[in-house]
Amino acid sequence: MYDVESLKRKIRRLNKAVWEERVPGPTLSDWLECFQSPSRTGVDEQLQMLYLLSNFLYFGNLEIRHLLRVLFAEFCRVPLIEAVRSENGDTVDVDVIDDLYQKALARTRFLGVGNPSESGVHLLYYFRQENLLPSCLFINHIQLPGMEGAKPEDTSEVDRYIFLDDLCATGDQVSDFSRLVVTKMRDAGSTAQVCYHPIFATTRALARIASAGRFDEVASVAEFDDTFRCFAPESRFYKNVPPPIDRAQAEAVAHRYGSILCPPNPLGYKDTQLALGFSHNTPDNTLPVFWEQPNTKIPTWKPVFHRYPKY
Amino acid sequence: MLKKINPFNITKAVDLSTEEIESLWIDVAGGDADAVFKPTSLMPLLILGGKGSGKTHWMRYYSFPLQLFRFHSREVRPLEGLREDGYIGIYVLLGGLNFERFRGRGQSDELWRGLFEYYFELWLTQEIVQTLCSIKSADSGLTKYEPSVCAEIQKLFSDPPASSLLTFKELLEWCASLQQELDYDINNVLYSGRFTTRIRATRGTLIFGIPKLLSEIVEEFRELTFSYQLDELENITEGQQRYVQSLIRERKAPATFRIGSRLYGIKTHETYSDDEINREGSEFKQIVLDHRLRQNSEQWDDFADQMVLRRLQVFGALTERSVSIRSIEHIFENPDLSRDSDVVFKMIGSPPPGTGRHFDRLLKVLKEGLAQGRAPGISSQRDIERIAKAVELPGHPVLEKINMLTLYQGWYRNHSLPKLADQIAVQAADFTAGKSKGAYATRVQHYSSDMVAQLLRDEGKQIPLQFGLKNFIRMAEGLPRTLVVALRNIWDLAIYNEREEFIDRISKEDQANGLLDTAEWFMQTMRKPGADGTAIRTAIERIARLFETNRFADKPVECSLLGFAVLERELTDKTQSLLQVSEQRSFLIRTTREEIDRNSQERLAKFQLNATLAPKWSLPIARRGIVKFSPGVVDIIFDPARAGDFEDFHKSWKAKMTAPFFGGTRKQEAQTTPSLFEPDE
Repeated sequence: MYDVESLKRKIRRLNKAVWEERVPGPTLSDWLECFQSPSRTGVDEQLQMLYLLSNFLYFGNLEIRHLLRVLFAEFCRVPLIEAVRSENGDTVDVDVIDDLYQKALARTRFLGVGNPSESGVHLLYYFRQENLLPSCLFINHIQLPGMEGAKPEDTSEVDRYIFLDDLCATGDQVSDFSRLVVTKMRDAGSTAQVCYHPIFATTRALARIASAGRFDEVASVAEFDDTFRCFAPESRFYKNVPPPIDRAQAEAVAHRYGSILCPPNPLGYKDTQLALGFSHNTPDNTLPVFWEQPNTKIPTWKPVFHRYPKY
Repeated sequence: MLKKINPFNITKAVDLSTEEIESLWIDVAGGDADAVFKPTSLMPLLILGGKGSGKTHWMRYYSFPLQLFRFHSREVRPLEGLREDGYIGIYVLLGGLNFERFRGRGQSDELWRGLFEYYFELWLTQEIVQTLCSIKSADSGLTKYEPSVCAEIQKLFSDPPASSLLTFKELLEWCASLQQELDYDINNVLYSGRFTTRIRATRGTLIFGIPKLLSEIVEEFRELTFSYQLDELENITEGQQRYVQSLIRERKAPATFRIGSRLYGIKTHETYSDDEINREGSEFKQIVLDHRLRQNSEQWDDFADQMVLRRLQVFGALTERSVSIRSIEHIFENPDLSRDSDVVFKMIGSPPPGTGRHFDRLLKVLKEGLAQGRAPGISSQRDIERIAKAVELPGHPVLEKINMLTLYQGWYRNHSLPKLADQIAVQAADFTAGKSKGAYATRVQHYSSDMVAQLLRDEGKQIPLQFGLKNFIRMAEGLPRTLVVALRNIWDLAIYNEREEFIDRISKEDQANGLLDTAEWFMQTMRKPGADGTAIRTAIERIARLFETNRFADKPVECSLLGFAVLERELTDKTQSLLQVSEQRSFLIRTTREEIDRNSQERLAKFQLNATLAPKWSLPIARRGIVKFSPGVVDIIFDPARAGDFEDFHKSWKAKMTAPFFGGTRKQEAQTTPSLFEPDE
């Protein structure tokens, strides 16, 4: 049985332990004040939204840095070492493996998805720090095969390009990006492997990108299936939850305010319905009730998490 | 005004620095802590107490690092300071050496015992030699004694080092190497099957020998007491404790012991000295820290006040240089919940006359009573309305509830309700007109707190009603850590919810939620692992549920109920043992004043639920009500397997307090004889 006080207690603990204290008491109170308790239809909006907030997935700076280490290990170091061993009779000679691995790594390049001001690219700095990589393994898009700034030595000495991203929720951005960039690389005759590895991705988006066939490899560290969509029938947040918590009521509340705050996407960009935030930003795939700024229709609105919008 | 800093974050004395131990020290004995701890006395002292009662703070305060710190402050040379103090405290944490290793692995108990004793000798020897190193580095006066002290210490070993060691440092390194060899042997005995270590000292040779030779050689140590301060005795096994008890029995001047342990930590008083048993008063003295503080509430209040102020000062939470405890008390929002305040009236929504949830309840049960023929003197709806009107006191919901309670009490005794309502109206009018004596006034005095709790719960405001520092101090039951944790939780909330740069008010919500968190913490941290722990947790929850039912009943059997009495010797052995553990773990407090049973003329033991737990079940914290439980009921409460029996008892307990039947069936007359499962009133 959930009540306002126990949910507030849970949120307070989450705020201290996980959310990097992004939601102090006054921020929570101000946000809750935006909802009615009860509404004219008898729904305790505050209770429904508090419950939803108590399930918010937040990844702080430490977690993101750790996941970047996992990403490198999972999608770069381990596959390279496996390849080295398999090409050398499954050797267990550590010196041989290390030498050949270093050579293979030197023929790898890491890039971010999007332009230099976007989150995919911003992760590269932490990625390099966490995995103790030399900066020469990180290149600009203009150095890719087929691009104007590419020199022969830039491309001939590379076996694989790994594109990093923080989140692939719908696949729209990376789809546009790959159509421009990866297609050009192929047209230029590059035979290097081209991989796309976001930290987080929805199952739907991964399938979409993979089926487009532009990348040789598509995989994320953490995958969100439909159970992560807040109001999906299979939503993990509403599995075996007793009344008064109610998925339909919560959806109606989120939709009602979302429609005013963000009419084209009341439940997040293209109806992604996530409840997800990072230390560096809150994606627009998250429900707008969590992050959207006030507008003329609701001038008193106060979000609970901050989002830096992309213009 | 306070800074947004939580001065209560550190809750354990082991986590405090030397400087913090010194600056947070409060002389609990009212200015004469030495008279309690008696640091120069050769009589061993057991310092007992519940978890968080301050044992470690006491022991560290009297340890050498703190003495040294004070010598620096006093600008006194350590040798001179020690001479003035008359003692040197050698503090060790017994939990730190993983004593569990000394058993099993194919070796005999006798062998392990010998190894443990030798290990212990080596360990304490290193502590004392390390202390000598510290003294020497701070006071060159010890240097002239160093060669002779080292030589004499080496002679205490049956197999001294090959070449003579001339400095404390060399001696320390040699002792450490002996311990390392022993560690290696112990860790590998499972594989090697044998020990290569040779035991170079028998029990007490070093522990008592070193202080003796130091007092003979070092001029400044001539009158010094060497106090081994062994903390957390509960962390070693019974056999190992028996060895410690043997040391206590066989101690030789100028060495002695101060031993810290939880209440349940003393597993034996037996010794290896002809199987003799150490007895309080002859081989040792003991103090129980939280008992001392609980028995002297004035001392506890004063200690707690000072502790709070000191924390605020030491951890830099004050915006002004000096403040009084009174000004700190004012920071806590403390609503006036007394009967003549309008706070409660407002909190329940200022209902118009004759309305509100309490009237809804009264009308409902009167109607039900009328329908079931269980409402004496009532024959119509008009009678019901007349009664409701008679108990009305607009704007005074607490007194209206007292009127209703009086009505329910008379109803239970089959009094005519209309007649009773008229009498109540007269009594209430007298009382409000200023007549402050008589049964009505007594009822107001006893039941107001319960009635306020009922009014607020009826309105869905299920929050603890304990506000203000004085109440938090009372609730901590003489356990300083419990108070520190409660304040830490409250401060955390106040900081979390504060919009401004400074805190000048701590809201009642922050206080209430902080207390709820503290009750949860207490349940978790004080519990015992294993089946007994489950039984105790179950029992405490059951007792609390019974008290909660009583507090929110139409006709509670007791006002402000927080305790029970029972004929202890009639309990099963298992229940007695669990009751004892509950007491040792501070879940239950045995009240010192026993009660004489009216029937058997025997003394009943009385227990009170720890007030820290009260907020979890919306219970009072005042020690007013005590209910007598039969031994059979207490046996049920402490047996987790008898859930069905407990629920039956709970049901009958609740029914007896609920209008209109008060435990009777629909067709029976009001029951006046208690059943097997009913509490004696």
